[in-house]
Amino acid sequence: MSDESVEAQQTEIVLTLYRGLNGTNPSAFRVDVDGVSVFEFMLEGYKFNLPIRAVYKGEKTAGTIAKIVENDLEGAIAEYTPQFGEGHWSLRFSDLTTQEIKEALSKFAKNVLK
Amino acid sequence: MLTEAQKITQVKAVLESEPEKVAVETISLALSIEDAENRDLTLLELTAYLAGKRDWNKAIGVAQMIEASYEKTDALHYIAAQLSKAGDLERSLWFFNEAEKEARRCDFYWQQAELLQKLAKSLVETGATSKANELLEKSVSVAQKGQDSPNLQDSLDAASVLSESILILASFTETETAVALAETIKNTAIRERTLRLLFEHSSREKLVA
Repeated sequence: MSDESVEAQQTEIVLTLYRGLNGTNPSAFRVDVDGVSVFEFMLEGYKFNLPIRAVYKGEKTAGTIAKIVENDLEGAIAEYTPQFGEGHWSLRFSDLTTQEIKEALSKFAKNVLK
Repeated sequence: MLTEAQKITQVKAVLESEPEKVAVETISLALSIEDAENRDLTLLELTAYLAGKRDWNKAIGVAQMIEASYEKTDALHYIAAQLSKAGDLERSLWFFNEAEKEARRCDFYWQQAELLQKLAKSLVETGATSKANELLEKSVSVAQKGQDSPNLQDSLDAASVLSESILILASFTETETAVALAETIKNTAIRERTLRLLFEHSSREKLVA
């Protein structure tokens, strides 16, 4: 491996992911087996775009994992899943039920947006 | 003068103390929360508690005060489910119907479809399988429409609910019908996963047979 590619593997890339919302209650978040859909870009047609900061290392390819760096969302990760659409990431939480994920995201959204 | 957060905390504290009766003052306190979303969530918790205590009149009254359709549907759903547990099937079905009507007022198709699916699952538990089947079919139809949203997030969320509803429906219907519905999922990744799960379900059914 060249020095440049080693460096690329170790460089942290910071990105902001967005979830379009019309409200901040748990009902605003759709959770399924893949997690919650979030995007690399802001979405039009919503009252809010909830920003969620994340970092990953190395080249971004399908399956790349980014760590979520928001205090209120400890333990969350995002997987790059372009098979679902351009700029799509799947936001996931370990050991939380669907309702707990909705509530955690709602609490975060209320703190950030209200 | 209580802050918004103090009002919410106070209502939660009352519910956590598990009173036999909820005082009108507690309901007034919840209604005085200014933020509509926070008020709706608190009223939803109150409805669930009151329905659990079979205090039907108060539960219904509180549910009617909820503004947002998603939370109001959940509240009517709690009442319907508790009425069913109490053996009042006629009134239970009436509230399931009211919940269905309210669900159709939600902003997004995926939310409507998700709620119809939740109501259907609950109806299965009450033994009303025919009505459950009807709501699952409606959930599928609404989610199919939602896929056409020009917004990628809404379209994907609709496809996600569509996939789940088809997989539940597969238990009530012919595999061929479920497969035909799965073919209508527009996102390739979600469609292929749903078809794979349907084939696994079908193989298990055949093994059992």
